[in-house]
Amino acid sequence: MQYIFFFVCALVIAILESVGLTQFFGSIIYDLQIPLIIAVSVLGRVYFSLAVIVPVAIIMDTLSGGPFGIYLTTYVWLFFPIKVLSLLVSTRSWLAVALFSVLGVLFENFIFAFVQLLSSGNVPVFKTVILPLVIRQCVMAFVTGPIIYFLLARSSTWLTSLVAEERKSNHA
Amino acid sequence: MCIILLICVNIVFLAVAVRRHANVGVQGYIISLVGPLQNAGHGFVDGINNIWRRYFSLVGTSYENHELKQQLSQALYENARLKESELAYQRVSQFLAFKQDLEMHTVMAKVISYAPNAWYDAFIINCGTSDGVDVGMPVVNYQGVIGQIVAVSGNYAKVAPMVGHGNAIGARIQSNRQSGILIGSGEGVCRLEYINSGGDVKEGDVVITSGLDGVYPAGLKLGEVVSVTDREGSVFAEMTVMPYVNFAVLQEVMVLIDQMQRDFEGL
Repeated sequence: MQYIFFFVCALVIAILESVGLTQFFGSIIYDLQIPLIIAVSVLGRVYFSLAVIVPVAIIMDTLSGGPFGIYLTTYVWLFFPIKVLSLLVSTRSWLAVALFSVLGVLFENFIFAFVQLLSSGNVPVFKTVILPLVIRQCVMAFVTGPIIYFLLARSSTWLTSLVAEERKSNHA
Repeated sequence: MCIILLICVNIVFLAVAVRRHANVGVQGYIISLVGPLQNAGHGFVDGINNIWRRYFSLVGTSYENHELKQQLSQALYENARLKESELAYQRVSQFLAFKQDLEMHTVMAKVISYAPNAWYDAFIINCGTSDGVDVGMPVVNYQGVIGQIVAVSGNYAKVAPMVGHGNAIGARIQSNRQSGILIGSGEGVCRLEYINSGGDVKEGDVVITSGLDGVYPAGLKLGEVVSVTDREGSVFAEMTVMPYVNFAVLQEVMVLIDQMQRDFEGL
């Protein structure tokens, strides 16, 4: 159930991002999958998390104009440090989740820049376009990342408990 | 006899009354008695009338108002729809005129989504292999070249726009026929490479496809030169080209089906 929940949420985010969220709000909108990836990484076990992250990354790769695998690389490599950090830091803290979100945005943009550097030898207009874009996205992620994370985390917990109660009442 | 007398007296009385318009004193008393009652009665009837007109009629007015508002919103919706239809008609007319000029088998498609990030441009269109679309086919509209199909499924295809970072097209300056390569910068404009510096290329010159890349047919409009800079120590000038296509408001596109088939037939 939790798997379906996260997968449907990821699908909805992917569709929203591709049908016009970035068109309406411009480049200030960061990749909203990042808080979801953080939630999945923190809440699920390794195999569960990867079972969500990999298909979501493939969907994003398909919709994106970048080289195939760029999102897969980003999400999978984002998953491991988040998983490790979640064991060291309390994930109930808004600040921790906000920092995780910023870390995710920075990491994703770093991967994109790195791939662009590999493919063309330079990252165009880094100072004038990319840097302000990344800064805006980081600020946005710091503010909204924890909101999305806790919304997903609490909805998932509520859904799991609801299903458990349903099963218990069926057995009874 | 008595009756006849009474009739005669009555006639005389009426004749006198008609002639003099006599103000008989009793009338004044009657008027002053009846007047207030009439006034009250008039006020009452007037009040009832007002209530009827202003309250009960308001119910009707309210319904009428509601109906008129509905009609207005319907008319506004119709107006907006007609305006949209007119704009769509204009675009389709331009597409049809362009299609007739092209003399190629083409497929029309709508843009249904855009890439979810600012780094890599792409968009999805609602036609695929079932319409004869395949990877590598050029995508254009009546303004000029848009890009190329990079992935395709049964009913959808992904297009890499020409302005996307690193996307290249064989190009030619229309005025002096010099050919080079147009490369997307990822910032909404393109760089035109391998054009000799010190030449007669100037701002405003039209850039068209050269056809040398084997993807785009020759002669399609690409954009306009917006800056020319001679690089020190290089034989090539640095040129920026602004595409004719407005990628921000892209709605309908056209996939050139024939181009690839012609290339294969030519082999």
